[in-house]
Amino acid sequence: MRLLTLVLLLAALFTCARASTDTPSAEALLQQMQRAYHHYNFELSLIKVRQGTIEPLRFSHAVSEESELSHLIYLNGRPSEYLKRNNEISFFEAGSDPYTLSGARMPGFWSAVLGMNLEQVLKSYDPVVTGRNRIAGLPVQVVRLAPKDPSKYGFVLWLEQASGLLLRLDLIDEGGNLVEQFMGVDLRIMPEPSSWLLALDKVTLPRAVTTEQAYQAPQQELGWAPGWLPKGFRVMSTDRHPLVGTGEMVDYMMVSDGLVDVSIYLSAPESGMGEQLVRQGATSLLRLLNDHKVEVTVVGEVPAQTAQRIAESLHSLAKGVRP
Amino acid sequence: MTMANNERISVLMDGEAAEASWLKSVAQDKEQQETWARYHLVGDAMRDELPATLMFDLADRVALALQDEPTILAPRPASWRERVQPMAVSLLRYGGQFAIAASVAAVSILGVQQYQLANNPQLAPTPVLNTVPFGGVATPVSVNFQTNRQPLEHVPQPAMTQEQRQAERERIAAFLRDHQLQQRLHQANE
Repeated sequence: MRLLTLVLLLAALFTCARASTDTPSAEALLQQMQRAYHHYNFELSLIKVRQGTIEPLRFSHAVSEESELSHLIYLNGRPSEYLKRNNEISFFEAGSDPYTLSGARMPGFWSAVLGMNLEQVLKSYDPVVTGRNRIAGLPVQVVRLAPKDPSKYGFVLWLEQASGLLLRLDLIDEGGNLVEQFMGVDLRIMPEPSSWLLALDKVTLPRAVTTEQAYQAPQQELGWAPGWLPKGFRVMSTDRHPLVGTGEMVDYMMVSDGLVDVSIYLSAPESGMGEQLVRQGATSLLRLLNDHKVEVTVVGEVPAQTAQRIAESLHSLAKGVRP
Repeated sequence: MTMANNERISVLMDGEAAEASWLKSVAQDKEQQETWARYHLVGDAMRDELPATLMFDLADRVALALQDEPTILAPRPASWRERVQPMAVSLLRYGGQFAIAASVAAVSILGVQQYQLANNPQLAPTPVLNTVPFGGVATPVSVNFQTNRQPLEHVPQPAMTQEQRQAERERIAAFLRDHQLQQRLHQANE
């Protein structure tokens, strides 16, 4: 009898082990998503939802022996179009001249997630498989990137079961409320790259400029630093540059956790302009005057209260006093 | 009602007298003003007196584009494929940052939600911001949002004029734009 129990127990353990290897880990699914993006020829129609407005987009990808192309286009109204050819990205936006940058990044969270450095991101987000569902008529596996620090937004990813391709991406706040959403509605995977996309490989684009050529503000030490940043954030860039449009000089610092960016600006206060809070989808802009009459503006894909906490934490490096 | 008003505008244009109270109401009604302007335009066109370039409601359109939904003013620059070479040159000649940043401009202010007076319950922010520890200090300023930090020197912020509001919007747009530009320039994962 005792032997039988043991055998049953072992059998149960064995089945459990088998079952757990059948379901890939969240991390493996994310790796598969990033591989799949580079591997497949596909066209995905999707909608972007933020603050009640819906914008349709199409994201296409082609890979041939010579090159890899990604194309993102906004389908309604003001045309915006982005083409990534190998390491060069061309930006086409209505009302302005197109340009090509090498070593730049496609705009938007969709591309950020596909191109993220997983190792870095997983230092401050916990990947969790949360089940199966169906998106754009296809079975998907749902993975959550839960922030280890609740002062950041969380991500939910829907990955197509067969290919691993990203089909839907939600940004949610601590309470689980939707902040911004990209939802695929139609996925076509093709054995061969689309001819129109391959044709774009041959088209003459604006000559590529490196980011250093295009943006010449030299990196420099600033006399201040944030005293607090959400977990996982580190400084990416510090410089002084004029704001385009207004020309005013600002001290600038970009911090990033590998997925989300926050810009911190110090500027002289403008008369009559007080404190301000603006939200654009996941992006919050918070401006305040600190105790030394310096204007602090924090812009980033973080909740407003996080932006405020960063803004209030700035301190001078010289004497350890708050600026 | 509207038809009657339109008729009265038409009669007024023909030189008939109208009572002062009605004229005052027209002066305050945007729709009536537009009707007025449109009727005059029609008249000018029929008399072949139109100027070479028509400045339609440009100011309104700009305000609209800045405030709200993407109102499409410019047709798609269909010729970018032909124009690309000179563009690359001009980009370098005039300093890349400005050329690039200018192009981010168009997108940034669209879809911006500016949090408004908290004394208006209809404008209560989404749940994302309900947790924000900001008090709702009532000010007569539509774009201004006061936090519950003590204002410096405890001086109440003055109400903004129309020009100041416009300047404020442009400044907010400049910061959002710069953030977008920096995101393009710096690879998150190096």
